[in-house]
Amino acid sequence: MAFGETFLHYPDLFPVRRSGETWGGESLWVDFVGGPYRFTGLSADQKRALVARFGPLSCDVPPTVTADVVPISIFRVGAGEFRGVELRGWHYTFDRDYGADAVRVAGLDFMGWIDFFPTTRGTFWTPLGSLPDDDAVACFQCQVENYFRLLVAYRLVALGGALLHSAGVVSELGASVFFGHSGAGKTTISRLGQADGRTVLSDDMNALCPDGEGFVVEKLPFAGDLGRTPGPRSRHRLRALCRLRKGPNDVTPLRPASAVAQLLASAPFVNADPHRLESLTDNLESLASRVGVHQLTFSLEGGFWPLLDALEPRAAVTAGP
Amino acid sequence: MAMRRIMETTWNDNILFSFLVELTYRCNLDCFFCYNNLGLEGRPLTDEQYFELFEDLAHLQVMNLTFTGGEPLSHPSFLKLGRKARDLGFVVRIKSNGHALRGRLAEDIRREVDPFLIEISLHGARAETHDRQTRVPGSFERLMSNLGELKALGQRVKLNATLTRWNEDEAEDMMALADGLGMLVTISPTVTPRDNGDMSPMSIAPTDEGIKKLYRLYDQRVSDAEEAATCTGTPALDKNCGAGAAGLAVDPYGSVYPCVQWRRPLGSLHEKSISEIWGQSPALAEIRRLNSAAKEQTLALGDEAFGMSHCMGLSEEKTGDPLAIDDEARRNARLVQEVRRERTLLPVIR
Repeated sequence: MAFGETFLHYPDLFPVRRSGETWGGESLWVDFVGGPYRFTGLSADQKRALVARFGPLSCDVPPTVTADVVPISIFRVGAGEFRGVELRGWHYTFDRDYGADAVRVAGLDFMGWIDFFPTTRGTFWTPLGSLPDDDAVACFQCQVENYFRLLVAYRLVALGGALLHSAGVVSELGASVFFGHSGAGKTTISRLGQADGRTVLSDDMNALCPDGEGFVVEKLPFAGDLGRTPGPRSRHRLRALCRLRKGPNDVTPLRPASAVAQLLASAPFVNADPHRLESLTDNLESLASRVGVHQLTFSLEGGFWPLLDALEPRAAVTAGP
Repeated sequence: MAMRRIMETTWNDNILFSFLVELTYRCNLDCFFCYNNLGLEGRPLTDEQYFELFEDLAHLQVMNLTFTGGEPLSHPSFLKLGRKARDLGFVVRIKSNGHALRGRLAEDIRREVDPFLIEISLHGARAETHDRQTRVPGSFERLMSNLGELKALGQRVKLNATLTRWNEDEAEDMMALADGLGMLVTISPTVTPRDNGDMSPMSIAPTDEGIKKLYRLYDQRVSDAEEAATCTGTPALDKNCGAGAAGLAVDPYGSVYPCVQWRRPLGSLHEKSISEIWGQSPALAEIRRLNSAAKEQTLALGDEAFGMSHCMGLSEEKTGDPLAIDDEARRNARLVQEVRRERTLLPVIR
């Protein structure tokens, strides 16, 4: 199927110019890793829905930061432009079309662009401007979140980091990030971490970004099985990065090539983009070499945390591929 | 003769004859020189407000209703609004980039809106020239294919081109392309600034030589016999143009203007009906006064005004004074006159 055909009646009318009619004159700042992000063109209802969704991360006035602002312009689109999708048994997805300078996306009742030059910016079209009840609010929040996490994934790559499909667990020693395919145990290890008195950032997605000393992990305000209550910004030094497997407790270093390959498989959205794959790979190589990547085989009975805590920070793997 | 009489009657007696609707600034192409003010904000008109507008216009016995944008087809209710316009008996025109005019959408428009004419933008005779302007690779190839489809559907299509530095060497080829498709083509020598005053589109305004070449081409295409047959005398007009006299335009947020090019607000459809604006707007009375003054000013210039197209909207945008004849209008007149002199001195072999 060509781009947009799943979701749009007339994919040929997909907006190319990043313009149109806004839903209103409201704007909102949302500040977390890669941001601040500034939404404009919002209706009053949309703004209220985003404030409810992003809680303490949102504000009316620009945060005092020196980082580039990522603007996200919101525009109107008619509900009738979207095809109905039978949701029973449907695995959530959206269409992406990768270009050298931008990515366009069409999904369930939304369309959008992510531009990369001169800096990252977003454009988002939604048919939901007036949100009269909780269902409409939830639908709008869901649309924005699905687009927003894609934009954040790209923004992190632009900043030298990555969005990782992973569980992030924090102890007083620092943050451990566990990644692996679906069913590898991200939610399980998160629950075990909670039971062990550790703090769970997310059991679904975490942001990894370089700073002057290494990499930091930041909690993202996106949904996971363990809920999505947004809290204040929470950044932690990354001390362990582990691919997950269930089995007898054991920790072994991964060879660099294998580590990067496994990380790539867990870096959603961008890993399918031929134009940004090289940048993502560079970032993950840097991550792997600076932090080190291990394979953690863990038992549901627990007992593996001491193995992790004993890992030396920056235990870079030096073995050849 | 009929058109001349209609012009004289509508312009001189202020009879609203043509109405242009900018439905949306959304667009599925991204032309470099687009004049839309993309920073404009407001509350878009609802379908019900458009229906009311169309009914008022029908009551005022308006004949032409033109949908433009952005890309007007991008308006979520385009088919519904087009159908209403057809049902009310307007001569419906659509100004489109043509990119989506294929398959089911083209058929739906033909069947449900049945426009008198679709005017489609052409930016060059070659793919690289056209696509450079639209900034969408493949848009030329798509357009050629879509024009074929429209023709097969029996849809009347006219091509509109603007001469630019990028395509001025392709004017003849654009005409040949239109001829090959059996379609009319108009090539305008005027690139305009954006409606927000941004002059960047002017960076690709055509050269003097490019414009003269275009005028020579027009000369060659109109034989003396054709000229004689179509020359029905100059209409006796007391205004410079039809802006605010026989025509009006409205933007997606309901602001009414004398013309798509003259963005002096006359009123808002959120506050008043079009009948009220047409009948009572003091701003419109001033527009008509200026329009007559511009005509007198042009007449006073005598031969100097030959070939001069004084756009008061452009003048107001560029200089702040709608009566000031801007450099672009003077340049065009000079070039028309130079070509005319060439024609007098050197007989054209046809």
